[in-house]
Formats: sequence, C-alpha cells, structure tokens
Amino acid sequence: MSAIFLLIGASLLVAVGFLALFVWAVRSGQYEDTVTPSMRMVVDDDGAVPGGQHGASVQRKDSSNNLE
Amino acid sequence: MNRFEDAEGGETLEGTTIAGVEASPELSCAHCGDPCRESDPKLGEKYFCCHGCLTVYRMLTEHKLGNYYQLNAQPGLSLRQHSGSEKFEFLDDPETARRLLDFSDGKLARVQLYVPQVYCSSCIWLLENLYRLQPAVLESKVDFVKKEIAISFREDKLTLRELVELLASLGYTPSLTLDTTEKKPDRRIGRRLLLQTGLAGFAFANIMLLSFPDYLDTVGAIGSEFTRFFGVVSLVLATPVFLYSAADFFKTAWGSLRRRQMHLDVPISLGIIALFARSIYDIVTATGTGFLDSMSGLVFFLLIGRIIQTRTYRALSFDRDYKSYFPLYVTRVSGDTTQQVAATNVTVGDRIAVRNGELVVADAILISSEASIDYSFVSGEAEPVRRKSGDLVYAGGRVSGDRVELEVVKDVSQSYLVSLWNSQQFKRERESKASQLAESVARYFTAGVLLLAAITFAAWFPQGLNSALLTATAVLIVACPCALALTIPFTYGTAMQVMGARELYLRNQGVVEGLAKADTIVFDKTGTLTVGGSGGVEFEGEALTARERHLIKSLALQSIHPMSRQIVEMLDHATASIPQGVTENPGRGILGRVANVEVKIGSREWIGTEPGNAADAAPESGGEAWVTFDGVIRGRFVMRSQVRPDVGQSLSTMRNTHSLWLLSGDGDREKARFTDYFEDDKLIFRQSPQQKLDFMDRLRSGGKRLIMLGDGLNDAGALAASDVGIAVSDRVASFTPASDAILAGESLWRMPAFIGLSKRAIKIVVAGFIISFVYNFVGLYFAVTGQLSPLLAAILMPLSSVTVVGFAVAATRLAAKREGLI
Repeated sequence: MSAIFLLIGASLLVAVGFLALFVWAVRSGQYEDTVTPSMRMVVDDDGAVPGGQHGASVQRKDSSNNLE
Repeated sequence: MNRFEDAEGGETLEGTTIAGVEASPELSCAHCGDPCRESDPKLGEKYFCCHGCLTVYRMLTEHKLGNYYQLNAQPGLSLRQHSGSEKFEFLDDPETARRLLDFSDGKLARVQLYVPQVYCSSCIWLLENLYRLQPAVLESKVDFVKKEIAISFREDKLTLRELVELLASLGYTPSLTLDTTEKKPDRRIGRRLLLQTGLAGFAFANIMLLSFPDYLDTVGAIGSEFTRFFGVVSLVLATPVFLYSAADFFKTAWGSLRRRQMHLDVPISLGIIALFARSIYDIVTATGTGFLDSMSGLVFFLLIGRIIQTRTYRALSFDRDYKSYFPLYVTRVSGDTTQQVAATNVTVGDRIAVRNGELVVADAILISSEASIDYSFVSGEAEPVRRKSGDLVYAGGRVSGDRVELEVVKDVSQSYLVSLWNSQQFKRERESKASQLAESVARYFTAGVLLLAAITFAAWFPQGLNSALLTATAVLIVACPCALALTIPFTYGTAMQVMGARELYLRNQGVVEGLAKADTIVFDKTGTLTVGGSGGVEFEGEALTARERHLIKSLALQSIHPMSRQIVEMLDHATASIPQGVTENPGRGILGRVANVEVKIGSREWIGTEPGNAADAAPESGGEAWVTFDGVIRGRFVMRSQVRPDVGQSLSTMRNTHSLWLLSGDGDREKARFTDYFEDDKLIFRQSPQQKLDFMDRLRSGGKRLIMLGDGLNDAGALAASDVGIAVSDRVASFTPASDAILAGESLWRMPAFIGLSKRAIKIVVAGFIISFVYNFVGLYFAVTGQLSPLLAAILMPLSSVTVVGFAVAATRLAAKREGLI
C-alpha cells in the first residue's frame, strides 16, 4: 500500500509542473492578446501564406468585428 | 466598407477605388492599389501612384520582404496623402522621449505606440519584421485588437524619432496625442485574477481527487493513515487558495464593513473562513477530511464569475477626453522659420500652422484666406464648415484641405472646449455603478444567516460546546451565497455579450441595471437621431444617364471628400474609368477629363452658378455639390441630414414607456420633423454644452432616471450627468467621448430591444436568486439538524453553482431571442 504515497506524490509533482506552466503563460502575457497570434500563425516566417490569398482575405473582415 | 476602419488611414478610399476601377486593373499601384496613370512612377513592369509607394516597395523588396505583397493584393497604405508631411523633430527632445518610452537604460529602450492604420495580417507581418529593415530594432510585437505595436530597440543606434519616421515612411504613422505620455493602465491586475483562478482550479481538482477514496469508502476499507495523509496533502493544497486566491474577497468584505456597508463579499468571506477553519479542525483532530474541496471549488467558481464581470471591450475606450485627440506638438511659425513646440506651451499671439487632417489645439483666428474646418469631433456634424480670414476657429476643429496658419487667441487650457471639459461639473466622479440589487440582497441575507447560525448554536448548546460550534459553522458554510454571487455576472455578462453582437457596447455590467431602471430618455439631434450623409445624397435635376453616371463616378472616385464618397456610394452600379488631368481644389471641388468630357464637381462658387432660383437655394443642412459637363451645369447632389432609418418606429415604441426629450444645439428649423415623436414642450433647441449639462441636472434632481444618447464632445457633459450616458458613433472604434456605453449609429433603432432585454435580465437575476435560495434552504436543513457531511457539501455547492449559471445564461439568451436580438 505504501506505493500509493509514492504515486500520489508523483502525480502531484506532475500537476504542480502544469501549474507552473500556467503561471509562466500568464506572466508572459499570453492571455492578454488572444487575437493577434491567431492571425500571425497563418503567415510563415518567410512571409508565405499557405493556401494563397484566401486566409488573408478572411482576416480583413476580422478587423471589423473583433472589439474584445 | 464599414465604419470600423479608421478614416485617418487611406483604406476606406482604397477599398472603394479597387471596386471601382475594374475596367483597367493593370494601372493600379503595386503597393497600395490606388489607380495610376501612365505618367506615374514606374519600376520594371509595376506602376506606382506616388514616389512614397515606390520607395516603400523598393525598400521592402531589397530587404527580401517582398512577400508582403503576396499576403494581400496591394496591402500597402496609400502614401499619396501624407508622404513626407509628418515632422517628428519634437521626438528629439529628451523630456518627450522619456515620457513616451516605457523603459530605457541608455542602450535598450522599449516603446508602445498606437498605430490606427493596422488593418490586416499583412500589416502585422510587416511590422513584426521591422528588424529586417532596421537592425537596431530587436523585437516588435503587434496587438491587433488594440492596434498597438510594442518595439524594443537599441537606443544607442536608433533614436525614437528615427524609429517613428521609419514607421511613418511605411505608412504606419503612430498617433501621438496628449494622453500618449500619460500613465498606461496596469496589466498586472488582470494577470493576478487569472493566476488566482488558475491556482484555485488546480487545488479544487486535486483535492477532489484525493477526497474520492474517502467519499466512496462506505465500509471503512482504507486505513486511518491514508485519511490522515490525504487530509494533510489537501490542507497543503488549499492553504494558498485561502491566502492568495480568496484574498480579494476578504479585502472587499473588510473594506465594506469599515464603511458600514454590506457587500455580498461579506457572507462569502464568512463562508470561506468557516470552511477553512472547520476543515483545519477536522483534519487536525482526525475527525474527518474537511471541506477543502468545497472551499477550493467555491473560490474557483466565484473567481470565474469575477472574470466574467470584469470582461470588457479591449478595443474600446470609455474614458476618452480631449487629450486622446489633441496632438502632442504643434508647428509654430515665426517669420520664415517653423518650430515644433509642445501643444500645452502654445501661448496667446503665437502663429501656428495646421496641415490637412490635423486638429487646431487652441481657439485661434484664421490668418490664411480660407479654410475648411471639420467639427465632427466636437459637435458630431459631418460636414466641414468654411471659415474666412479673420474668423474664429474653435479648438478641436480639424483642418481639411490646404495647410493654414492661425493666430492663437486663447491658451490651450482656456480654450472653449478644454475649459468646459476641465470645469468641475464635467469632472464629476462617475458614481460607482455596482449592482444595487446585489447590495440590498446582501444586507438581508447576511443578517438572516448570522441570525440562523446564532439560533442553531443556541439550540445545540445543551449537547455540548463542540457540537454547537460544528453545527453553527455548518450553517455558515452551506449558506455561503456562491450561487447568488454568480447569478449577476452570468446574467448581465450574457446580456452584455448579446448587446455587443448588436453593437451596443456597455462599459460594465452595472450599466444593464441603469438601462432597465431609466424612465426618461434624452436624445441629441445631429449625429444621433439624424445623420448627415448615409444614404442621404440625392441628385437634383434631370435623371442621369448611364454615361453621365460613368463620368461622375470616375471623377468622384479620385477624391476623399465625404461628399465624393457619398456620390460614389450612390452610383454604386455605375462603371468607372481613370480620368485624365485630375485637379482637386481642396474645399471647393474636383476637375478632370473623363472620356474627353471635362467634368467638374464642386461648390456653387467654384462652379459659378447664379443663385436666386428657388430650387437652387442652399439646402437646409448638409452640403451640396454641383456638376458641370464641359462647362454646362447639369444639376447638383444634395446631402441631407436624415433621421436614421427605423428610428422613428422605435421612438414611437419608447414613447409609451418613457418620457422622451430632444436636446439639440442647433436652431429649431427641423423641429417639424420631430413633433410626431416628441411632445412639443420636450423639444429643446439652441442648447450650449453647459446648458445641456444643467438641463440634465435639473431633470435628475427631479427624481428622473436618465438615459442620454449623444455624440461629440459637446454632449460630453450631458453624458456624464446622466445615469447612463450612451455615445452614439458611426465609427465605434474611433471617436467617442467618455460614456457608459458606445452604440453604433445604425443600431440606434434597437434601443427598445436593448432596454427590454435589460428589464428581463433583472427578472432573471431575481429568479436566479430564488433558485440559489432553494439550494441554500435544502443545505440549511441538513446543517441545522447536524447532518452536513463533506460529501453532501461537495455535491450541493458545485451543483447549485452550475444550475444557477446554466439558468442565467439560457434564460438570458431566450430573453434576447424574444427581444429579437439573436
């Protein structure tokens, strides 16, 4: 039965790891702007857009509706 | 085109133009898409409308940023309007730079700038690749919603001025206004709430898992050593929740107690403390596992409610004053030299030069012979007014057309608008609009719970102090008004969300109650009920043929004047081509050759018509534009201010339930149009901003609850003096005075539905309170009789919260459907 102590300890350790990740994510400001990253990801680092202009034209509309 | 796009950028025009020049797409600017002529600058096969665009194109391709043009066709901002016109010498002033920079240590600096021109993914990509254009830029990050860019750069290699000039040369001129240098809001508050919630959720889930063996063990199969171990681990997990996550509830509760008020956080804090203390007792004395899962869950749910409550519209600002619009620096002219001085340092007698699109910062006399001043920012009037040499121009007017010179006659702080703004009445603190409903419930609720706990304690005292304490704390635990506290944020939050989708943006949740309780609605006229322009332009004269429409549209496309845009919009289905030899005479008209016809569109003086004919009398309100073909007058376009569509219907509806007033700064020549909707003595004209404010105060001291709908800074005082001030705007994201809510002009007709939804929301809150009371009573039965087990609490408390939240959201959405809002 004493294995349970070990297992619970291990599971808590993992959980605390995730909590630490969450704290890091909040501290680095990832929850402050949730719109721009979604637009950034459609553009590759070299500036190419997968799927041509389609993705970009969707974003033009974005500018009107996202006030949050 | 939609009104969200800032008119300051060239994009509105650009979009129209792209649509209009389908006839010859090969002659559009490769950078911005504006139409070009054969004579325009050329690079290889590509044409450009101006050298500014060509320069940017060359710069981007040289730095291998040419993919910019593959993200969107012609994504660039037209530089024809403002290439080289901006001067940023004032940024060399160390004091200004210091105030603008967020951080600076002599080597590295960080600055945050507002760039209204950001409108698509290409903009983000280009601005975030600034480091390729300028190696001294270390990182640039765009916030698309706020249209802000945060840049870190090497201060020793690049000055702030050079950085801003780089942005301006790309067409992304940062907007530097008086409040740019003021302190920016602290982001840490939002982060703290998120961290508190995350921690509570983490503890809630883990303690729940640890509690399960105990809950499921009905025969005592797990040994006491495990129970003890689980208890201790739970306590370790729950302590940070108590100390950190729940801290703000304690603070609010303590603060309200000291002010001898009863906030809902008082019974909540009482419940949390009872839960924690009781759990420690249980665990330490090994009499049980405690209620720590219930406590963490409670705090978690409450914090989620608080997040919902503080959610607001990031892109909107409800606190604007003149400082958000006034430029930081102005150009002072002395003799032949010009010099940039801080706007606040301009003194009487100074000569200032103001360019197209810039604001006049102080009341001044016009020196140049003529100027066209756009007061839309002050009064909401869309049409620019003409001023002649020697006329007084009020601060806040925007110059459109040529650069003009003015002589300042009043200091900035003494100018009409600013002094009005700074007067004590305008500055009046907004009353805290916290929910009054919650407060009155909290008062009785807390008293009742304390009384019940005392009675329980007394009743159990004969059985011993210990069991009396245990049952009394059980009462406090189970009576904790968690579900009650969640009703309001979720009901009002849902209502706010629904209204936001219909373009009424509330500042906070308290405004919902204000809307529901109002009995009087006061309207401004110009810009609120009526709108100059939208759909209001019509042609007077013999009907235009398809060819004539073509001629007019082709020329009108070349101008950014609001009138031209209205004409283009009206001639929606007409074809267009590129005219030759276009000359625009700002404030007067535009001239060009289309298909070998000389077309002129412009003012009556410029065209040279003979006044006197009754039909030719200048229109009552709004502007006019005459059209000639080869010098022969064809007729005129008239821009009439119109009552917004469908608003008449809503006014008639609201008249049955509210008393309606019209409060206008204009003369009463349009009075007849409103007598159908307003009682005769409730139509009030010729009101100055101060009179409007006084009028609102009088109504209010008469016990009325007011909603004021207005636009422009001249209504700012009246908006502040009302219970709910709603700023009506056709460009929601740009110009609005301080207010409780921002409403898109075209949604004005929905006001009865918005008010209806608010009234229903209050009823839903009351129903939610009743549901949570039922749960409380069930729990109290077990508590008073001494049967409240941790398992029961762990089921009952989340269940009541989930029920109430589900009910609040579903009922509010149903109510919105009934009101026709979804």
